[in-house]
Amino acid sequence: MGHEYIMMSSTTTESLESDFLILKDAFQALTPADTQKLTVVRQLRYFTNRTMVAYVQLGGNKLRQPMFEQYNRLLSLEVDLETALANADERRKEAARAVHKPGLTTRDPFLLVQFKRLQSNNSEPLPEAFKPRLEALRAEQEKIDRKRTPLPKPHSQTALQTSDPTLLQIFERLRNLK
Amino acid sequence: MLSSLQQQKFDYLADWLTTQSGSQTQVLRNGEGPRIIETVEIDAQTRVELETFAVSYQRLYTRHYILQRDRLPEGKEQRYCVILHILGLTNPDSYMIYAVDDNGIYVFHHTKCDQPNEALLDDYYRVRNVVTHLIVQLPRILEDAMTACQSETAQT
Repeated sequence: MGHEYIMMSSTTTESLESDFLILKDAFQALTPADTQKLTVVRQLRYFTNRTMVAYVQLGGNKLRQPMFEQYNRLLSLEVDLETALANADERRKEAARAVHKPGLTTRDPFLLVQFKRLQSNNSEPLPEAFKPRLEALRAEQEKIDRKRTPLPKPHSQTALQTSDPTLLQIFERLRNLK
Repeated sequence: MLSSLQQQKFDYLADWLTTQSGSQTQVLRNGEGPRIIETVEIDAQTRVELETFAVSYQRLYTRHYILQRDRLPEGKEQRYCVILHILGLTNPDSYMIYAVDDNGIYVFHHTKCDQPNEALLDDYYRVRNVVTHLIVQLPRILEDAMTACQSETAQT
């Protein structure tokens, strides 16, 4: 099949339904090889999403559910493909890191002093000479922080609610981990 | 205080989710700032909440606590070990970022979309999709974390 879809500009629910049927056919016509191509899946997901949103906004209802289902299936497929690509990329980077471990090399006396204090579990006080520099760094960070919108507290402490015995048992074991 | 663009994006997403899953969507406009809370059913026994609110730089932010504080180990060392193990799952190319605060471990995402249109919904549904996948995988993730932390404790 060709992978160029019509640039849709339908303005009625009927024409959007017709557009969707084309997209549905295109989805069904994908070969297993096509479903492994990110650009193909992404393009089809993009047009399905646009069609679905326009259809709902025009009050369309008849094909709303199949549109949403197709969109969700394509999105899952796309995320799986992206994840597979990202994992392959991560493996390449990991292999590169195994050869060369990037680290921090410095002669900055302030950083060297802080490394030493860190190693000694903060048993040595920070030398007076570095205190103004630390204060300046803190002031700079506060200036940046003031421009940020703080994250609100979570709406609820029960963000994940479950009565699934497997999950509840794991939470219990996790809580009592020794 | 939301900027005009943030308000438009917030309203667009709130209207869409209310239309699509009205009974599972709450739009709160008081308190610490407006937020949208969608309850997503993973299966018959488990459901999760996705919170979306405005943050700096015109963005919307979607957050979900995968592991609340009261579900983390009581022992300090074990708690840190589990937190570090789960934070280590963050993949630089992943759609979601793991983070931790006093309330537990959460995943979050900043919407990339600049306009209130279908691309914003697309971004949101990707986050929703990843959270759903993550919760399905949660028993395995926690089992791995517990095994790793037990073997670390045994070594020390």
